[in-house]
Amino acid sequence: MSSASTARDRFARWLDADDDGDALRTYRRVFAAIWVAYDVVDLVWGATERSRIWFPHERSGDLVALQAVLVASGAMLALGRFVWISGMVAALARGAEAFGYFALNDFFFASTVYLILAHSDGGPWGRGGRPRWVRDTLLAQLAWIYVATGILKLNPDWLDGGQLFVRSQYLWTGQNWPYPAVVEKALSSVAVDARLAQAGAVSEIALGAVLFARRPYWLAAALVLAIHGFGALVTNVWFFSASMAAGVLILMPRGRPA
Amino acid sequence: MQPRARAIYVASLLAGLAAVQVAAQVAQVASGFRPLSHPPTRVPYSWDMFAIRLDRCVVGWDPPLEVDGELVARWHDREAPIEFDTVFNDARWYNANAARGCAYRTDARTVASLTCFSSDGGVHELSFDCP
Repeated sequence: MSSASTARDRFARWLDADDDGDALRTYRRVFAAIWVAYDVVDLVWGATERSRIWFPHERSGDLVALQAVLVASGAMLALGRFVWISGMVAALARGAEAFGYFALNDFFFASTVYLILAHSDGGPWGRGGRPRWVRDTLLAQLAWIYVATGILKLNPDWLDGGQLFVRSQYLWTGQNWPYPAVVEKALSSVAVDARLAQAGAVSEIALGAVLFARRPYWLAAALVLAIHGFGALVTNVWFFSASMAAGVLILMPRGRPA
Repeated sequence: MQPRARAIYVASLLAGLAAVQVAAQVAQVASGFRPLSHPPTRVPYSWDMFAIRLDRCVVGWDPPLEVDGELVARWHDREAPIEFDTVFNDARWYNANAARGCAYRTDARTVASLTCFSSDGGVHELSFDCP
């Protein structure tokens, strides 16, 4: 048997394999619910619209329509109805929102995950499945995001603590962010911010490596909670943080890899 | 769907995902990113979260503006406290928007003020009379 046919056979077996447990379905529901909540708030408050133009102006009807599509397709995914078509529509709509209205990394991330999750029920050729390749792809995608963002943070602007200084002082001063006094004092020191930033970049690369290795679960859980707990409190990023943390906590195998 | 067609479909999907993200990293390097030396820029799907240089400013007006029938003393008076926030990466944009806000002043003598934080640890205070 040639090595090419062996690779093809392995690929075919991988596509045929079912995932054990309910992790894929759970993550699809949780991820979709997080982003439906985001889109409902966004639709009601016109938050993305205001992020584009803060001053009074007429709302973009196209953006409202896009957000309504995101709410509907996300709700269908959360409910497990028409998973493939709902996921594909959500991925396209989120990508359109990112490229057409607001180039937010959170939106690029969500479009990618929706695209993969569209296949979590079996894809266009079946329903009710739990394809292992989808869970493997999601884990590899999360791992790559952590490695890539960690490497891109290996630059003076991040490592010197400037980013954390700017963001924490902005939240403290502009939004009256309720940091305890001792935390505010620490974050107002660029030297402390630099140590935290360096720890953050190393933690992200380490988490990426742990996700690629798919063990140990406890280390992945500790790293993801530390990274995104800190990220939510110091950078005011909540929905993206929640969806990344949910991905690691739900999809990461808890035992040794098969 | 036949097994062969399914294999081609999945292989194409995965190849597409990989190609977009590899191209994004190539674009980062092409635009000057070098680890430990030059910072990255914004490139979709390169996962450059929090990696670029930026400023943030807190903007206010005295006396408050009147926007949509409400008094607005600070930029954040029209913002949600968490997640959703209208921000710019450069202090010059905050300055321009502080000046733009003057169109909504309620008093001829209105002062716009900015407190800006920069990545080098600097805090810069600025104020000007609305023109």
